[in-house]
Amino acid sequence: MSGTQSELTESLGLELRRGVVVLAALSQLREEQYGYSLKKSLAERGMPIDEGTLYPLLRRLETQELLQSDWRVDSGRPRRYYSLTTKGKQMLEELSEEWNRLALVMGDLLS
Amino acid sequence: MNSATLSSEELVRRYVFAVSRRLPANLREDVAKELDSLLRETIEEQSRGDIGAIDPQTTAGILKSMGSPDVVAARYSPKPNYLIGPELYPAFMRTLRLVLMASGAFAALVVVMLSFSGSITGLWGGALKFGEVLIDCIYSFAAVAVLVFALLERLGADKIPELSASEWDPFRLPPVETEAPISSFGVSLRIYAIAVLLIWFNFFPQWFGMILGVSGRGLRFLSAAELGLVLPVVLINCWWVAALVKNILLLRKGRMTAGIRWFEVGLGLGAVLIFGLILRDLWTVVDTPAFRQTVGNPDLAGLLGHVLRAVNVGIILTILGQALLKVYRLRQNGGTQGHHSSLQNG
Repeated sequence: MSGTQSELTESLGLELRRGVVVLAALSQLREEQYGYSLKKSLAERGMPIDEGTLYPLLRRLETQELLQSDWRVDSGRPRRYYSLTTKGKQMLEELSEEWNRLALVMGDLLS
Repeated sequence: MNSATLSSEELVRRYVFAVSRRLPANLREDVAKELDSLLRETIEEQSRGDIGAIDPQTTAGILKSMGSPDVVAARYSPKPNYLIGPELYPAFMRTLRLVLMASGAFAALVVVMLSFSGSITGLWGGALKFGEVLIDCIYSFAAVAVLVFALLERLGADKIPELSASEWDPFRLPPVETEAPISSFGVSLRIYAIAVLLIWFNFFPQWFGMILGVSGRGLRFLSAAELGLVLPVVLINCWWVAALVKNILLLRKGRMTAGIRWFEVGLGLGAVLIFGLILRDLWTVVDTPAFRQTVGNPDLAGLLGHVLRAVNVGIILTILGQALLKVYRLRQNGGTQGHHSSLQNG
């Protein structure tokens, strides 16, 4: 037995959002940010991502050489700052183009 | 320390430790440092105060929303936390199915060999041995299969092209299975009939058989004693159980599949084996003075002997012919075309 309609909506909505999490994170890292500030920045712009997903994602993007990071002490607290690498900037451009194309197609499909 | 007395500071320390200890050694320190920093920032900002002064319940709520240490560690981990991943899973399941089938066949073979050597006596002895060997085989073979696939997973599924789901040839796809309609009523009836026969054969063997009136005397040529002495009882039971399984599969699938047809071929070959063993014993039994004496009339006994042998040989040839025909059809059309006659057996 599947869940209720609202549970299904929530689950499918989550699946839909999961696909754009990488693009959303990359878009906010044109300027360097640390994990918590990035989370806040995304939430303020209407894209809340839970910490358990976002922080491991940053590590994964760094492993894929799309991000670079360095530790710095800021306001008496050690923070790891992330920023886009050259490869990351190129990826952001490509994914943005893909997103714009997709948005057009989806807009057309849903109209 | 009682959980009620844990401070926010201690909760964070424990959480970070719980996550980091689940990570590979090379990631542990770095992730722990970052996670600790991020958690403290999140907790302090959300509670607007120093972590030392924050209610542990608030901290616990934030940690819960972050996810369990297992889940968070799995997200950080560069390697997936599973024994056999999606790339190898289909091949693993195919192997496991083969292993299970081979275990059944191997166990049956062992029981037959032991029963012929006299190491097993009685039906229950045979059934128990079969169960024992089967469980041993499944445990051993399945464990080896799991170990091999887990090892392949660690070596990297992508480095094993022949097992990788990403490399496949569309021209080697199996043909579409055309549904051969089955009669659920007929299959159900057959299941009940086989179950009744199994109970009858094993628990009330004295009722099993035929009484042939010869010269006013009753000849029970399938009496309980003769069944035990002459017939390969264990094999017959195995065959009926296999036939039961086949019909249950058929009922569950609701259609005839290539796999079930191959199962039928196996059943046919099993029946040939059983009738072959019966014929071997019958060949000598009908020539014995005891048989002639039981029948009462030497001429009739001779004739009956010939008829019984001929009937047995006829049955063997018919079943063998059917099995070979099925194999031929399966090879001709990939086992897709339904033919209702195949439902007649088992």
